[in-house]
Amino acid sequence: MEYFYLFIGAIFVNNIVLTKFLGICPFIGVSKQIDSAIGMGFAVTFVMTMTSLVTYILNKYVLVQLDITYLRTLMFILVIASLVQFVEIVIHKFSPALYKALGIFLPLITTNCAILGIAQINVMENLSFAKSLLNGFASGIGFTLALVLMAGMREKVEKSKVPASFRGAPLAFILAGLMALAFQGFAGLIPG
Amino acid sequence: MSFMIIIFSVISMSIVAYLLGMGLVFSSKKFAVEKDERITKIENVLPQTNCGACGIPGGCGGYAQGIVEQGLDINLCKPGGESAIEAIAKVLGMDFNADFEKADARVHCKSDNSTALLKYEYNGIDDCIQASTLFGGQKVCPYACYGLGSCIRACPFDAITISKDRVVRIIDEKCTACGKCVEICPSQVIHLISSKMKVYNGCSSVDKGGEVRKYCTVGCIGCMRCQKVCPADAVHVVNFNAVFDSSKCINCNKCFESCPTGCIRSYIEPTSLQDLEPSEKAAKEEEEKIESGK
Repeated sequence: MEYFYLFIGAIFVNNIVLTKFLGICPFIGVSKQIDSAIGMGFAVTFVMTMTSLVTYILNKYVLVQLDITYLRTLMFILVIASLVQFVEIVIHKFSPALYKALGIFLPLITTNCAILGIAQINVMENLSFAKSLLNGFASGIGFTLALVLMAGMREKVEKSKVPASFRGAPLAFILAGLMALAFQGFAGLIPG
Repeated sequence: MSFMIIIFSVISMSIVAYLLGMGLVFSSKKFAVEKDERITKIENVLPQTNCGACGIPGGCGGYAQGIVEQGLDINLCKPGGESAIEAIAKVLGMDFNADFEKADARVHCKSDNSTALLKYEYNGIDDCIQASTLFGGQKVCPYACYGLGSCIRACPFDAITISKDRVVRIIDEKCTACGKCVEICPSQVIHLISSKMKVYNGCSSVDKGGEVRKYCTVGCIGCMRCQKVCPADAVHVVNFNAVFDSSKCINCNKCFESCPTGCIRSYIEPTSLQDLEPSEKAAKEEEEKIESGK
């Protein structure tokens, strides 16, 4: 049950974008079309899960053992950068269309603070191996959910009549704010 | 102990970085995207300035890809000119027939803040687009160059200079006709014209002569003197503005000498600086100063 709560909690209650406000850049940048939003979401989910896995091992068996935890950020970034490169190579090979659609945002996953954020949160909250992995995966799903919902709204809004001054980014920010407000409603979902 | 920490840090970081690096090398080999080698070859002969003059998104790489995959014309690269076309044709094994005429950007206005009548004094930032939003710039003439140098900042080749009294001049040798300045100029006084023609009308006004005289002392008043004096029939006054035909012009410089307002701009190498009128002279001096400074 604990794992179930963690899973649901990471998606809805502690949604990485809408509650913790991490990873806002791709949230606004890649949420124009549902297709590319889904692609981006899965890329981030993959990187997040893998990062949780690798950073847990590195943290426990290298950084803590050798008493060099001050290197945590540096080492985590190294892992994230490599994983993103790997994802980029794979996407370029298997889905050139998605590679083109994501454009600069794909290498920019490296600097997506959500990923480093999850890795750091896993360590700070002393999550076990399985929980870290689950937290990374669920947060990725949460990110994807927020991104896809946002993309769906923006696709609708694109076609509707909007006052000129609200068109584009301003409306996207308002939508994001309203969505974050709505997600606050999940706050009491998880006991404890 | 602190010494050990340094050792541990260095060793552990190195090992992790090495493993991750090896992983990337392996995956890039395994998942390598096969790229037509002609694309790389064409990319290498292109100027690599990514100026976008060809109109293909993605810079020189995008254009190279477009040539191979979509069969785009090979004469779109203006900065590369004839030599690039030849090189691309060689890579593709095509017959080389260059349908390419080198052009240069030319500013069709030579007024400065003293020769043109001003509506108001502009004290904003040095940006032509900014100035154009304020009642269409500070000069009364609706066809004038704002002289704030947006084109200079847009030029990827440093081919545009501005004199002290803010007359913009393009350096022929550096201009590649990429068209960035033409795009950015809000008053549209920059045009690409054949670089064979060294003389052109430095005024875009199509107002009547009397009107022009009211707001500019170096404007084209459509007096037809250049048309009469031209031995090659290359100049015709249309809408009170002298229009030059690059296919007929023989660069005799007679129109430049006869022009009563001095609106015609000449790129013919003067024997000395005295031959230039003041604004041109200042630009030339500045040019030389810049060159000697380098």
